[in-house]
Amino acid sequence: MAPLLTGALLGAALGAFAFNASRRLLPLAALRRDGRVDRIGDRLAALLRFGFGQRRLLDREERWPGVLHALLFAAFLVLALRTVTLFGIGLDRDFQLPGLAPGSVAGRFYLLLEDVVVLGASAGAIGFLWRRLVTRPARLTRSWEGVLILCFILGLMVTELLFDGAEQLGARYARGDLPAFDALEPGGSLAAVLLHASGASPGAVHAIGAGAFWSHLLLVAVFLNFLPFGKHFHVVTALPNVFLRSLPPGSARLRKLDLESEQASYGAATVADLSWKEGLDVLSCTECGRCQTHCPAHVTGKPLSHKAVNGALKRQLVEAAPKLLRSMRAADAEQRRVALAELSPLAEVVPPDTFWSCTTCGWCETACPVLIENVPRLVDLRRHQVLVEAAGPDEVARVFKNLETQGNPWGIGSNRRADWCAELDVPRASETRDFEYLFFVGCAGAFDDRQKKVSRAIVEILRAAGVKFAILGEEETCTGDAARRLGNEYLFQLQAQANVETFGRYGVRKVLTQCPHCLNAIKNEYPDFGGHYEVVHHTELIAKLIEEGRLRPTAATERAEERVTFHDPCYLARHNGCVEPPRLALSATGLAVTEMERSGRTGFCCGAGGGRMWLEEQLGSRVNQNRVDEVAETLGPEGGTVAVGCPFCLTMLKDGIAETGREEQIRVLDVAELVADRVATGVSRGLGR
Amino acid sequence: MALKILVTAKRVEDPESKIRVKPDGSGIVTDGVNYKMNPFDEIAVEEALRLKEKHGGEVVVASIGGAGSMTEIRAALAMGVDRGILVRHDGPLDASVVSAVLGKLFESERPDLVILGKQSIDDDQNQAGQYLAERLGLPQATFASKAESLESEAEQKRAPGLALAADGKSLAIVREIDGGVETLEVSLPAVVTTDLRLNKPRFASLPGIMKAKKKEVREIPAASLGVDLAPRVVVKRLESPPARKGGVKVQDVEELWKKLHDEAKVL
Amino acid sequence: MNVLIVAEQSSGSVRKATLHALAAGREVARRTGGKVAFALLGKGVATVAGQLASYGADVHLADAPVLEHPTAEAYAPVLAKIAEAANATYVCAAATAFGKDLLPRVAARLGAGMATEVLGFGGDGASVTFRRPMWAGNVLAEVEITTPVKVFTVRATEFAPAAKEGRGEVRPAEVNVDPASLGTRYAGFKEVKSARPELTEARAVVAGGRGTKGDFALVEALADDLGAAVGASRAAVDAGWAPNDWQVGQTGKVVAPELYVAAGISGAIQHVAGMKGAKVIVAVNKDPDAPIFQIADYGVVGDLFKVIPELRAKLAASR
Repeated sequence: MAPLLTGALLGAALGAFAFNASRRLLPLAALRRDGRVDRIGDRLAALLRFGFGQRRLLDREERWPGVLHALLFAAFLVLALRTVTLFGIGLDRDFQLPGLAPGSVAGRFYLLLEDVVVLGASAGAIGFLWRRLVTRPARLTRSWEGVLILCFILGLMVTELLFDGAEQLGARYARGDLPAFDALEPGGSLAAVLLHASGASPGAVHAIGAGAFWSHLLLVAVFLNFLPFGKHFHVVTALPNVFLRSLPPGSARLRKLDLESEQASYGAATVADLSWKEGLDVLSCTECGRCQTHCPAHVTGKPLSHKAVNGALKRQLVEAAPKLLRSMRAADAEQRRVALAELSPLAEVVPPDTFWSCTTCGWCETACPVLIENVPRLVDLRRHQVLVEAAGPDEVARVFKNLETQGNPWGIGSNRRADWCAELDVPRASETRDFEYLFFVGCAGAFDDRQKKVSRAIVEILRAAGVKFAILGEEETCTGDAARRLGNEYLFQLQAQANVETFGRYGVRKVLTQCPHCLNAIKNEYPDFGGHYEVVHHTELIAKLIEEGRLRPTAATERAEERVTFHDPCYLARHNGCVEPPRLALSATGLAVTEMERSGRTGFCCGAGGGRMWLEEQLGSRVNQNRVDEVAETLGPEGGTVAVGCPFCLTMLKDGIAETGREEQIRVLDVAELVADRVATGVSRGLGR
Repeated sequence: MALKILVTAKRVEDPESKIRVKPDGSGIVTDGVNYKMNPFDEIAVEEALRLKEKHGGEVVVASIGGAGSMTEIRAALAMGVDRGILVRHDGPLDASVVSAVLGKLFESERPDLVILGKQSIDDDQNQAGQYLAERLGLPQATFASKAESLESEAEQKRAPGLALAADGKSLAIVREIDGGVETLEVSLPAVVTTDLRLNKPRFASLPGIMKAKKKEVREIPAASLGVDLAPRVVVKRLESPPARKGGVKVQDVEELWKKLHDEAKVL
Repeated sequence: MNVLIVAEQSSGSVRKATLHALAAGREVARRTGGKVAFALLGKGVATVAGQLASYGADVHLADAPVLEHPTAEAYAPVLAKIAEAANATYVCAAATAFGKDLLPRVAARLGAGMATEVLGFGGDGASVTFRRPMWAGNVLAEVEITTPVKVFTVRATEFAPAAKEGRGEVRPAEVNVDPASLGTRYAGFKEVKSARPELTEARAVVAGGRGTKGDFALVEALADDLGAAVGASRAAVDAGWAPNDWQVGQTGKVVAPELYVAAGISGAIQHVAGMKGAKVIVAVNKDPDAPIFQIADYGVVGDLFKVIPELRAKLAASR
């Protein structure tokens, strides 16, 4: 058609795009290294599932917008070929994509597919515009960018259809034919019929076709160059971002800091302390807001919005780009330091109240369609504040001191750690080598009067099933989970090393925990300290013992009447995928679990994760009350039991129930207590509310 | 107006640990007991650091005790103290021994100010600062507190509670006494002891902990100081107080009243 | 062996704590066959000396402008002189802020050893040992002071106030202090307006929880009767019934008073972490299974709205 013009347009578009995109992407190379090319098979699987499969977009709660997005996504994939074809036509009137010659089966199929996706994408764009302009759901950030992009997309579809229609009509006219609807080319033929029906002269039809053609190419060129400047850069980065995901997810296994290194930056002070992948995450954020739908901090009115954090970091990244690029040319660490000096502190754009609000529950990361990880970055902000500035919320100083002196967050004497089982004659690892499981009791299980009952129930169950176990007693110390997630990596490492050493001394291979936080730390984080164990949660072990027939709870019939629901601990279900065992254990005792709306891997946090157990909740409303409301709704007016599998959840729900005046209606019990109640004698233990 | 400050950091048993008396009453069972810096000394260290941050100068920490006391010296160094002196002495410490040793350190260091915790939470004697002041003939200000609350903005900003005069020659100290708050001015050098409400001690930063490993700590055998190391207060025997009968319920207010009055003697 | 009691006065009258110290001093004097005398320092405190004399002990009165304010630096040399003049083997005061500030300095000046917060005496006959708490009261120690002169402060509550008996003499004492040589200057006193002590420092704390159902009036009234600070559980603070700075617990204030009254507090570990250091814990709760009873020294199962008024009535009757 016009090879020179097309060539110039194509060259300019591609050149400008390459320039602008590289200005966004190149600075990432200056950020912290983080290897992401292992486990190619898993990565490809993720790409298929989450990238091309749009898995996270099509979830239950967000079905319609997910479908609309899938329509647009499909159009992008298919039309990428069409755009190439159109530019090809611009260069050479007779250009065809190899293998897709008109009339061939593949060609016919492609045309059909293309028309379908164009119509679908048009519907998708209109649907999205409707959402943005009319229904306006809360999770969306309203911006002119979104509307403009949708107009672009709609424009691309319309020009594509008009060009196609005009082409077909022109060909028909040339053959002296009249246009007719063709189910195999629904879009183009429909456009042709409509154009014909409009009574446009053949000359006008030709002009419309040419206009549509050039508009389309121009739109593509503008659209392409618009991408790097906004959130629609995800069109470029989303698929790579999914492929380069953290394996295993980084929130369940936080990055080990090298505390001995002189040059080390401890946590994130400036944007230069992010990893390149975290930079890519930030560039890939589309501000869709799925991350905050059930974010416990966000929904209870705390100043944490992951998409806002991403936006802030993105701006920082853009601002810091020249300095980052300069730092890459630095010959040594000192030059690098100079190049990066004067970067503004991250805490200015992501204020402490924001990063301290996170419970590290991981909802955001389960929801994000492009697998952006938020938790490790927020913890890195805490790390900097705690480790370097020795600052943080008032309460942390006491927790750290207590952990340091006595190895538990309450600061109760470590030589009282075994008081809970003083009358139970529980074997110590220091006294016997004849044990299969090391029962890691945990601080709450050892010191909290309420949780001590759970510890005792577990002992009862283990004995009933004939499991050989031992405890560490006074030699046990906190796993350090809270310290780590409160940013005190140093304290965490001290605790982790101490436990790994003790485990090693007694040849521990299997560890049983009653606290999902202990479980997560020992299972996922201790390997970084040379500790490799098979770690099970008590609900997992109970389920296993029941399956093996070693534990036979009497399933009393009256239990079926009792309403019970299970609150999934984030560090059990979401971070460690353990969803079925607690339910199995409950049903084996004759209880029928009624599920809450938010359950399993998409459960809702109790508010205590990420060390929040040890901080006051002064902003917004209470997370635990939000959850208790849901428990109450699920159990109905009669009330019932909410079963838990985590000492923190137990405390938070118990408090929430009391705070909302539902003590008479709802009781909280650990799964172990409900099971222990039904083993051995089967005598009711008079479990109170 | 730079200040040179000497502070103390005694290694003490954390009272949160179960403290048990040996069957023969000769001491406490130290097995399984955790140690930490005397919390009042920690406040002293914090105050010294704040004064240094405001006025410049040097903070030197001293501890008297066994090799284990190095942990407390390092803890103070990690908070930001410049250097440490560990006076090795394994015998019992009373105010007269402590003040004799600190007096020697005072002579060699010539600080402008000595800040000590008002008491150490093991023997709870509350004497060392006063003994030291008398021994050195210096003015003393015990139980230093702060006019502002620990929730105040001044505390947030880590402002010192001790106010150095413009000429740098005296210090104003707020102390809580019965019925109110008293202000004393002491000319320097002086001895100050700290109370709970003076400040909230910082926790050490990681760079602080790393740097502390390289800071200078001088070890001196107490015997080499040429002072009398014989205590004047000798513990003859220890015993456990009547065991706490948690879980005891009383029938009524009448009985509660009797118990509080005659048994617990708190009314 | 003579006992010198260092008297404490404020605005023209003897402080009650001094009478408790006198009781302790009499006990020592009885055992050692000595005499008890007072030392009184101040400016224009002759009437106080008169009051003291009515307890049957001689009063060594050092009355001078330089002694207007009780600074240890000015008082210690005068007291040391008096101790020598009175031929005192024991120097004793109540363990108040005044006594704890001053007596160690006096002891140092006299080359004496000292025992703080003495609860009682041991030993045989004239050889007196001192019983005192260590490790925050977790251990009771019996200590011996090896120096010829022995100095001690006593915990007032452990000794009933002494009664008047006989009549002593008031003797002027030498004031060997040159004001110009002092490095301590009194720069003012501000009476603390709040009648209630600081939570973390209070001798007694009365705390309310969910059981108050939002009505803290009784809790506050009992606190005022006891001269106690008011505390609250997190539940009560959360409910908006009590201000934030009343919160006792893991994330609030950590207190270690001699008496802690938990009214309508269930005793979750988060709360217990903040008050388990209290010497005597009294719990009032309707729920006999409330965990607070496991750590309470004295638990009353009952409605705080009934129990507290009764307790207040008892208190009122005893005064």
